[in-house]
Amino acid sequence: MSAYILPVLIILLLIYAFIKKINAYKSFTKGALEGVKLVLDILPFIVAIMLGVELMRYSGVTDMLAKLLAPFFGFLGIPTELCEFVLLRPFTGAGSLALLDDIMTNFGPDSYVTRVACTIMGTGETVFYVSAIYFSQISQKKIGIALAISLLVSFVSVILSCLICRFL
Amino acid sequence: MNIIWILMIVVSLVFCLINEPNSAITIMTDSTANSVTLCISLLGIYILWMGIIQIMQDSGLAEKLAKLLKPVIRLLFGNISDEVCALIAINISCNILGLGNASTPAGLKAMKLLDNQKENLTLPMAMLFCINCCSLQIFPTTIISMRSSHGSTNSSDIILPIIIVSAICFIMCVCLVRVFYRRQV
Repeated sequence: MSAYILPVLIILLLIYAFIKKINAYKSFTKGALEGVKLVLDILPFIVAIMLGVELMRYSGVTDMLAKLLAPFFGFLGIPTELCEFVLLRPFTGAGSLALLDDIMTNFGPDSYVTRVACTIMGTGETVFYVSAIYFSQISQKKIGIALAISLLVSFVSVILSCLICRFL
Repeated sequence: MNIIWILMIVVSLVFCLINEPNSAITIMTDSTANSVTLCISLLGIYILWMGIIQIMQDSGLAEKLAKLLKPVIRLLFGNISDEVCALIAINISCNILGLGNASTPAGLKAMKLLDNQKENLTLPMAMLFCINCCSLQIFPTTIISMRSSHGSTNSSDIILPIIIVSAICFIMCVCLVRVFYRRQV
């Protein structure tokens, strides 16, 4: 079902543009050129953030942080098996999906741990990645409060995920 | 961001030097090469969606969508121009539909237009960023298909918890941004 939505929407859009006598071909290429510039603009920022994330993973810093934070997470009701996953979620989407796959293999797809991990995956975002590319577009430098709000909200979502999966 | 980044790199490199100094540079070049590969695939995706968005804007469909969502967007973002409103409307509706790849270019375009060359973030900018840090997706297809491929008996029972937690977090996020960026409205 969901496979039909997008292609149909695009067909409708093109028909609509034709009726409205818009040069859709010209518009598309104009937008596409902007897309090229956009990716070039954000490329250095993506490289910088990925460099940090990969270094942290392979050097064992995330492992160590996960071990250090385990008692604190346990105190908040977060399963200690999920420490690394919770830490990586704000940094990398692909990386946390791979971890989620591991979690499902190890704990089974219907266990409490997996359900919590799925909820965290579905409610969280890659905050650092989003901030790197969104703030690459503007000249403002003081972004601290906005970043802090987003991180706080993601952290609350983790705690809520653990809570809600006990009841639902 | 600067401090976070420096900390990430320096701490990791120190760890690398203690554990296995030979691989440090390989990891760095590998990860930068990987991110360029990522950007090349992003390039294809962004070209497609930016093209589609441009058609939406030129044909006036974007403004229609914006008109529909205007009351909500004005409530969240305060006073913004119609063009930005249209882009934010695309950004939010793509987020809800789970089209992260289409929502980001629209969001970035809106962010660029909001830039006023001043030192501090304004309310609409902070709101746009924070909303994009909340996941608004209604139907988490990737997670569900992953669960069923692992043999889950009821793979979609995760939707309800996800929607409840997302909604609570979204409200919390909006309230916090409103409180902290109140003065610039």
